[in-house]
Amino acid sequence: MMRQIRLLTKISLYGMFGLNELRFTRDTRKKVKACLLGLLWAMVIVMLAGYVGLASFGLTAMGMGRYVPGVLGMAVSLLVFFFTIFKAGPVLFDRKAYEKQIALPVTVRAVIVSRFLSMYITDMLLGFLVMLPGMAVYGVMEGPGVSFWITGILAGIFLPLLPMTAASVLGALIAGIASRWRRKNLVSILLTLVFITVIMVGSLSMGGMEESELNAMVAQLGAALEGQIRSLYPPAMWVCDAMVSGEMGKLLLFVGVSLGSFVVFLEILQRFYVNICGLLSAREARGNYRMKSLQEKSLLGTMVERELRHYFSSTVYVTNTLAGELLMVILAAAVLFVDSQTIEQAIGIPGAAERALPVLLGCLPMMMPMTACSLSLEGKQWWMLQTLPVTRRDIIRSKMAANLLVALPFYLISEVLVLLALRPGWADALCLLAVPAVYIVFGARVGLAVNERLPLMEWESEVRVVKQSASSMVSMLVVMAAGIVPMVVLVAMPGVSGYIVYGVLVALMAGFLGCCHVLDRRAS
Amino acid sequence: MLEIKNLTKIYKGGRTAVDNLSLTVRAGDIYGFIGHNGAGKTTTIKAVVGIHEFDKGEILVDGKDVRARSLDCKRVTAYIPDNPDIYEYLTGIQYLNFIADIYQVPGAVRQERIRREAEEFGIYSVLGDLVSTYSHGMRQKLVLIGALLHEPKLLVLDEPFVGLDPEASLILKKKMHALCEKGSAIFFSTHVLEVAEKLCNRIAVISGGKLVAEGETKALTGDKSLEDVFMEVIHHDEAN
Repeated sequence: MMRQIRLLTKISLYGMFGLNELRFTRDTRKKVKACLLGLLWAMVIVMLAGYVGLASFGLTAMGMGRYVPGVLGMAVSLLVFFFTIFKAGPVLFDRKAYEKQIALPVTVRAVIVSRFLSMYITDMLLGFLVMLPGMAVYGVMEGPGVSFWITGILAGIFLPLLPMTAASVLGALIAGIASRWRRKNLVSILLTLVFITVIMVGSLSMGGMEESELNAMVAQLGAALEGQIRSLYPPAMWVCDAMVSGEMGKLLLFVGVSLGSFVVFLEILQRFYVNICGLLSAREARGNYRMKSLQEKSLLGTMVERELRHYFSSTVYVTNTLAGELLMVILAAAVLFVDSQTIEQAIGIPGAAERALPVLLGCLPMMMPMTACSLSLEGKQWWMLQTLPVTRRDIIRSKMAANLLVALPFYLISEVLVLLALRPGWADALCLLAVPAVYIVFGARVGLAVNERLPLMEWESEVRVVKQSASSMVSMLVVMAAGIVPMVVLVAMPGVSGYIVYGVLVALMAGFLGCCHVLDRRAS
Repeated sequence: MLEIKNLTKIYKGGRTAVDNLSLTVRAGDIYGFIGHNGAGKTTTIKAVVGIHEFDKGEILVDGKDVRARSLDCKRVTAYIPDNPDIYEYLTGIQYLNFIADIYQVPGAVRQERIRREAEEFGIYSVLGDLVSTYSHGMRQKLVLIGALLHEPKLLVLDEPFVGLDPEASLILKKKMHALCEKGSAIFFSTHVLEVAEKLCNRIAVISGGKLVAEGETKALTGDKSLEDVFMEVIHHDEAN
């Protein structure tokens, strides 16, 4: 059993991030690209470490050092939960991989555990990247004993287990419910999006609560923080008590609860696993087709229609790329129903809602543009677009149009909500309308440009393309930079006119789009 | 209809997959392309249909350069790969309608052709189902129907008989003959030498990326079987 799990996990990890391909490829360009991607990852890790280190330094300097492990534990758990929720269903219930594996002499239990483990190992590494810098800062400033480090490492190993189990339970529930419907993918997409919305709205309101409580209880900041962690995620406080006060009982409690919940989940899931996989893989074949009149469509029309059908057929693609659009609507609704101070407290950027609302609204839907992996997702079917009489420009236009069509309803709803809430003058209204619109078009084109340069055509699971590919990561970094720079200028330099910043921003992005347009025409 | 002149394709890493290969497929030809696994058949085919770039040489389809006028070449070509990886999220009819839209086949014409071909291949009743529910053979039949929709001047097929049931193989052979009678050309690779011998009027043998034999089927085989000729030329090439 252990051997089966080890082998299946090894195979799964080989496929992850394309490490095995990189190991054996003779293609120098691929190796160079992988090195550049590694550098980017290193940069992101350094930034993350810097952020965690500074936050830990701040807490310790304010005399609340003992809560650093608790805050770190909660941050890791939340991060792991969100990372897993998007991929738990597709990874755990990947029917194609299941069909390949179950034909081998392995148990269902081994299949489930190996899939869980492959996610667990990456999440554990992510957890340590967050934990270690904070622990180092605390270690230098407070000088705790050896037990702090030992319990810290042990806690780091087990921290992802509980949030991953919770996210997997949810993934299993969604898969279980969706499997009973004819349009399984659509139901699965809707359920995941509803859940994400609930979590987002919930976390936004919690963010505001925390800040207001903290402000009200300046004298008892530590107690307030402890109360918050205990009420939001008690296991994080168990970790905190074990690391800081050396309460080994709390560590045992934490490990016991984490392992126990996983074992219970495993026992229950393995009873239903084959059924859920079977139901998810079952496709209804009616075999009663009668031909109706076939409508002719234009080249662009038919290509866009195909793009949209492709998009809505993939749960992992939709849920990962549509989260930004959902956040845009949530932000717009918050502008209508909540005051701007609460929004700023919730997002943690003072002045952002007052000064940079158009940028904020524009940034959210392009956090992860659907074009960033739309070329890669053609995968094994890429030969079709290569051999059909369509130009590169046709492909770009259809992918752009599909992205814009998906974003359009969210953009319109958000704009209506914001305009109703603020009732701005014509100049502000123009900024509110134009800046997010240009951002959305810019994000879509950037995603495509990056994906053209960093394609990943050979993959087994869509999760690999959507969540782990170089294109997704680089697109996200580029569009993040395009959002952060104007936001910093607007928030940190109150003297600079917002209209000037917006004007420059729109001109730069429009310039980029114009250049792409000219280059596309020339290439065609 | 198809002219390949001195085609050379070198893969990254330095392996020469196709080495200075030249051949001509005329209108009305059913041209068989045979060789070992890894001999360079699929690489040549992929260069013809625009999937692979190539390092040296020239490929002309209907007199037009596939690099300079790729769109014109693709408009008159249809390609059927060895593995029918097609859009699983579309139904059969959506797939065919998509192909018809791309080749701008008029509504009434596509309706009549789809009905006729789908009935002949025996997949008419499942055209409303998702491609993901199709078996390998059904997908192959769907790709074949899609390829025949615009009556291509050049039909390029990579191992077309693998996965097809005997009846569908027979239908395909008839379709190939019918298409050639209308003036189109067919260029296909195969491992099934008996099929190549019976079906093709011209045959080329490729080994290690080089063309080792080419010509009229009858002239090439004489009184021997194609299998014997194939083994002879391959072993002669390997010995050299």
